[in-house]
Amino acid sequence: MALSLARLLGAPVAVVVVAGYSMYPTLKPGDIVVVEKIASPAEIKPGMIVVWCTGPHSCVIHRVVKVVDERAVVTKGDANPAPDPPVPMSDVEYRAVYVVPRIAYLAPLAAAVAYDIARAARRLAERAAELEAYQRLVVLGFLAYLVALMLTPLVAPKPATPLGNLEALRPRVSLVNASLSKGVVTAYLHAAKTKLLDVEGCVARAAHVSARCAASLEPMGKGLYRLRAAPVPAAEFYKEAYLSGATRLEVDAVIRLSLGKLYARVPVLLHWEPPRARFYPVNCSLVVVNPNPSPLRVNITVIRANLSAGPGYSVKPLPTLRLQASLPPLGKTVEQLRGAQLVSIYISYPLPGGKGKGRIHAGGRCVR
Amino acid sequence: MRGCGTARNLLIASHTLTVTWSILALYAMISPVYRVRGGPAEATIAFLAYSATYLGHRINIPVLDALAVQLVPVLAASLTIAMFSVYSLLGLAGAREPSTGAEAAALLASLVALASTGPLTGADRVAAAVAHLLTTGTRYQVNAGYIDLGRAVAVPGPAHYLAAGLHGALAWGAAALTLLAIAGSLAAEECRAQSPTEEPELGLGAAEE
Repeated sequence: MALSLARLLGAPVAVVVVAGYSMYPTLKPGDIVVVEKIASPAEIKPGMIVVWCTGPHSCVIHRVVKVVDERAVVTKGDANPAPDPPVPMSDVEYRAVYVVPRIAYLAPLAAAVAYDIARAARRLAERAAELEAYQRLVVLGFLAYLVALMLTPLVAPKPATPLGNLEALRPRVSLVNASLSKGVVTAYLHAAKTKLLDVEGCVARAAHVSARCAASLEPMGKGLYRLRAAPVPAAEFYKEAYLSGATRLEVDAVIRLSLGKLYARVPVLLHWEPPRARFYPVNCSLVVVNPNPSPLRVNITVIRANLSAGPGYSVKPLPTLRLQASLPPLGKTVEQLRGAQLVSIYISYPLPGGKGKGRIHAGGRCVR
Repeated sequence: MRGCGTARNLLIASHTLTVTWSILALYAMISPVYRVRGGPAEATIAFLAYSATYLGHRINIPVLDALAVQLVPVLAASLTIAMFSVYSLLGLAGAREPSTGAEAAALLASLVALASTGPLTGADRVAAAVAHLLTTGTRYQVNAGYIDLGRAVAVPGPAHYLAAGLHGALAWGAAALTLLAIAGSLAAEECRAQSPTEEPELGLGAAEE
């Protein structure tokens, strides 16, 4: 208050009452510090105790540890483990010049209060002598009761936390590992202070697609459990997920615990892989494999040709074959391409999320 | 004498109220104010004692331990004023005019009842806060999602209903007690002034004629 007034009036000297322990033991709460206005920023040197303010009524009294380019200062409370953020030089207004320890004024004040209390007590004792016995009983009995009420909180245990450490008793379940393989999500869960009993419900989500899932839970020992979940119907779910271009699959499972329920969320990444094609020259066949759990429709273009013997080989083109094939999830299709000696195969397939078409190539010479 | 009769009746009413207050305060302190059921916690909370288990483990509730210690003076005061008032009532029953001891006991009892209303109301609020804390936080985040330990409910016990009504009524009742006691005291003085030959004795019972 005195400092605020001094700042408002631009007084060259002011007093500050220390409120915290940040400058302990140099300054203690209750100490009065006489401060004088800093005339020029050049006066500020490391080691000096200064007052800087961030608002009309919020000021800090700390020691300067560093002057940064004569534009800012870094201060630190003697008892603080770390320095304060740099303060603009213009915010540093006063420096400490004299400290009046609290004992210097609190001790006489306490002595004066004690003297007054003693005088009042003596007067009360004189009055008490004039009271009737029953009046004394009422006064003393009631005073004794009030004193007892006031003193019991001092002897009562001081609770650090209202309910003790309940946190330590609570069950914990952590997701150790999760993976997606062949359309089945496998997650390993570690349970502490509880047991995972069974799966009550399960939902699989990928982008905006969701489906119920079939899930099972197996104890693996030492608090480890294996959760396996697959969307139902899987082909439909993954087809929609593929078309939507989802890259993340989440399984939300409700698992019954020995007390309560775990609402588990298992996230896995969806890696969509391109189909794989392999040409077998011996029986002149093409095998296209779908590595994804979603069905896939592919267009196969087979450019065919025969070789005719003569002085050297000549190539005789044959009509191009255009086929369509539906690949089952994680399945394959076999196309016989007999009737030509040379085949060049182009397979186009829709990219995830309908983002155009991808193309793979295979081909070779059929062996008769 | 009319004045003496009035003083005696007022003091009997005053002591009856303080005895009632003491019994109700004792009941409020030793019988359950809250029972917590369901979810992870099972607890029976009274001001002076409690029993609580959390997920099957017996737990200490430090704030209730502190509360029990802080209510020891109230417990002692309730017992003391109950005894004083009963003793005074017994004395008053067999006498035509009250003694100064009975007046002093009435005044002291009513003052103590007034002063005890605050700690008892505070204790009820602490117990309510503990019961509330035990019923909350049953749903929390873990690494694998979140765990719901079930819904716990705090059911107020009969002592709470009594205490809730008691404390509201007691603040006023105790004030009325004080007024009754003071009125009784004035009436007794008037009674003594009208019969100067009868010296009141300094005891808790009544002055014998």
